[in-house]
Amino acid sequence: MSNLRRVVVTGMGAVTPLANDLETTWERILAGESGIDLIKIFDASGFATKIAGEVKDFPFKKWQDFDPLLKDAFRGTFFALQAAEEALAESGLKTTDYDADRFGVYFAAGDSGTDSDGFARTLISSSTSDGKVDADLYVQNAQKYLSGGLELESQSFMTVSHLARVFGLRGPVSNCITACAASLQALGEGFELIKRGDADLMLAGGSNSMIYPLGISGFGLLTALSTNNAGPQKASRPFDKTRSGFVMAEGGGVMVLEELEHAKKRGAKIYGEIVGQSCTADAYRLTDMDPEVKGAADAVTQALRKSGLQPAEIDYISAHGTSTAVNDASETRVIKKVFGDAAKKVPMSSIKSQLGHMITASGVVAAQTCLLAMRDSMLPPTINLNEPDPECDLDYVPNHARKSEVNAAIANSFGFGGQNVCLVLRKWNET
Amino acid sequence: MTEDQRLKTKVKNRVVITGLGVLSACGAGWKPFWDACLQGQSALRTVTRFPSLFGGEVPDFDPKQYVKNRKNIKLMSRDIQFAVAASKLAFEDAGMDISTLDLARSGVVIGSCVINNELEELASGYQKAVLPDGSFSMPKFGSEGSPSFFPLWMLKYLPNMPASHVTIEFGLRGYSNTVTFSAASGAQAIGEAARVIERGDAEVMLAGGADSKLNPMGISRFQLFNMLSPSREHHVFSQYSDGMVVGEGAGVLVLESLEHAQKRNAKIYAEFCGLGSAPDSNTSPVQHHDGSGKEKAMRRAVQDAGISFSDLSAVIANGSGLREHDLLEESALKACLTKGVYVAALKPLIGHTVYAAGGIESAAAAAAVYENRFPSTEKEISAVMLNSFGFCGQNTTLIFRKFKA
Repeated sequence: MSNLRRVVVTGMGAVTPLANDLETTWERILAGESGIDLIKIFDASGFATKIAGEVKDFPFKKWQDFDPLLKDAFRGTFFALQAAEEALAESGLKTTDYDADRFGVYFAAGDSGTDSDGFARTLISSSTSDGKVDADLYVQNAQKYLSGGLELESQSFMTVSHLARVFGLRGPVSNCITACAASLQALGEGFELIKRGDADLMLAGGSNSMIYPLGISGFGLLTALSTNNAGPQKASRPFDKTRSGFVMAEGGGVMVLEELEHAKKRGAKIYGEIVGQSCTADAYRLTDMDPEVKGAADAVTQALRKSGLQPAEIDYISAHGTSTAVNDASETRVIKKVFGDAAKKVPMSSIKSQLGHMITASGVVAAQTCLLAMRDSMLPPTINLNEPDPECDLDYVPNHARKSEVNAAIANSFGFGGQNVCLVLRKWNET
Repeated sequence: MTEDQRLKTKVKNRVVITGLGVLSACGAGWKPFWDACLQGQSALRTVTRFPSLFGGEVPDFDPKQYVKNRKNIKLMSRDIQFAVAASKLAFEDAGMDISTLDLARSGVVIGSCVINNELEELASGYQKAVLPDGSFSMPKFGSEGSPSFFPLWMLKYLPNMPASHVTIEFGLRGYSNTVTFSAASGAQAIGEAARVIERGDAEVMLAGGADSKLNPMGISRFQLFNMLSPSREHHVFSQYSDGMVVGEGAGVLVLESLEHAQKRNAKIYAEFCGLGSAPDSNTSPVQHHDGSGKEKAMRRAVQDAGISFSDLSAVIANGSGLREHDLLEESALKACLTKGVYVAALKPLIGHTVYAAGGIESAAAAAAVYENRFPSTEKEISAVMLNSFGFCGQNTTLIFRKFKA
């Protein structure tokens, strides 16, 4: 039985810097809008980077009122819940349609938020001006200045516990963090669990919010972030010669993955089919991508092989396309290596140009836009691509959405630390 | 069988355990830990790095003994160093000649989560942001405070870095993942790594967990929930349970497809044969009322293994030392187990090693099956079940059985 199980996507939802739902996000991506602006979550006026892709006008209160157990939860958890609610509504699933024991969660909840003020207070009150820390005093002061609830909710594994509890899902559960590749990997693992027969339905995706002082500091120190504070909406410019780093963003994306026969039996709307996944590691250096791009190219090659599709059959690539100098040039080399002569014919765009980099939540939204591109025969553009980089010479669908039929697509995610994931999606048909 | 043939035939690979790597309060290697298990000898003591604390500290740990490229050590928190060290111990124990591995078919899954900061690295930066009136200025933190941190500071604490460093240390370019599943992380990592081999995505995997919370951030969080034992005794399933003692360490196993292990005549400790996971509806470690996920995880693992509970010889229980959690586990065990199954809990020996616990205790499960020994029984040990439960409703159960060709 498990040999024949196919996995389709029957529901999708997202919370992004462009909108608090997927359809509006998609419309605004196609319109070439940017969700990047000055940071408002905290006072970033002193930081080198003052811009990010924040989620706006989010209904936090709706969730806090709905459930007192969410009292201390952070932004990322709420984004996950909202995106899951949308995905479940879109799926049309009624609780009588499924066995909750066969409905699992494989998620990529990354950082969800943190109690920055409490930490600063605790650390400062237990250290001297030259930076010596009194460990016992820290533990003692933590009892005064930190809250157990907030400390617990800042642990990224909490998001999955809330998702399973709030939506009553009792199937297999897990959470992974492979940096920027995580939610694409979560979709891949969710797909494998259904294929294997461990579940009929999986809620899969990711959520993240690292727009807090230590998050912006950490990536800033790595010189990975754009500091184009004067032009926030122009700051994320994947594949453009003047790109200067990625723009931190936050959000969440969720897919309902369903075994094909289960979906057919209830007459579900099918967005598309997942037909292959692959994960590899660079095993190169912590901070650099392997110039030979072996690991990343292997991920794409293997995912295609498992899907049974030839490179020439791929109509669209949702790029990792972070807008850092190294990533975009490397990714271009990956596609040339795998697709050969066909590389220049496959359109590849980066929705990070509009959304910024949602870190662990980025991959699932990329995969969602692949399926929406299939549905609407529209390719999302790479905005801010005005000055082509000679090293980046593929078709990146510059600046304007394009009408084009898509039967099969891939999404790429290449995470910090050398984690590469590729997912292959196809329009659903009977054969 | 070539990979293309395998893809067409969809044959599931059998997965065996061929190497055990453990770092614990008992020292380096799985044997000192396993001896302590058999003898019931606790290794808990005063923590040298944090003298007011009692816990399960890894003694005399020197990362230079394990990490090839010493320049990398300064990018590694203690958790990461443990992950690399336990991986090396596991490969050595497996007699693995890494130069013969197909590195693109060799990978890693480590259980972890956001790693606690070494506060000394941050304190002077935070102090720079204090205004004369004593208040904290965020703009000043942005302009003067955080720019004074070690530039690669964040890389020491990202959850995926233990796995990343393991791939770099050994050149493993195959499947890689980091499972963040509270105190079930290490066990879940092993179960998921086994599935990767089973479906043919890798031939060799390192899998387990690594953790060190014997530091101010770690201890302060446990204390906020009153989870630490005031008596400094880690009693489990006992009326004397008054909380847990914290340990640290790592447990990493070498998992191989049976075909790969047989081809190199590897010593086979055990066959990995079952994974079950399920959520409880608890989202607080101290108001723990629902244990239904624990029973589901056990039933799923046993079903996955194709055995029944009566086939089990022994169980390594989660046994957190938190009374409510242990009572829920006990009633789930009672609902599942048949008479004559021995249940042991290993955390009183080395403390609760959180993300590492499932990895370390899996080494004990494999050793029990291989050596036919288990604490307090002389019985034949043919199959062992391992429970690893998180603090907020994360439950993972694994099954190991004696390998039979």
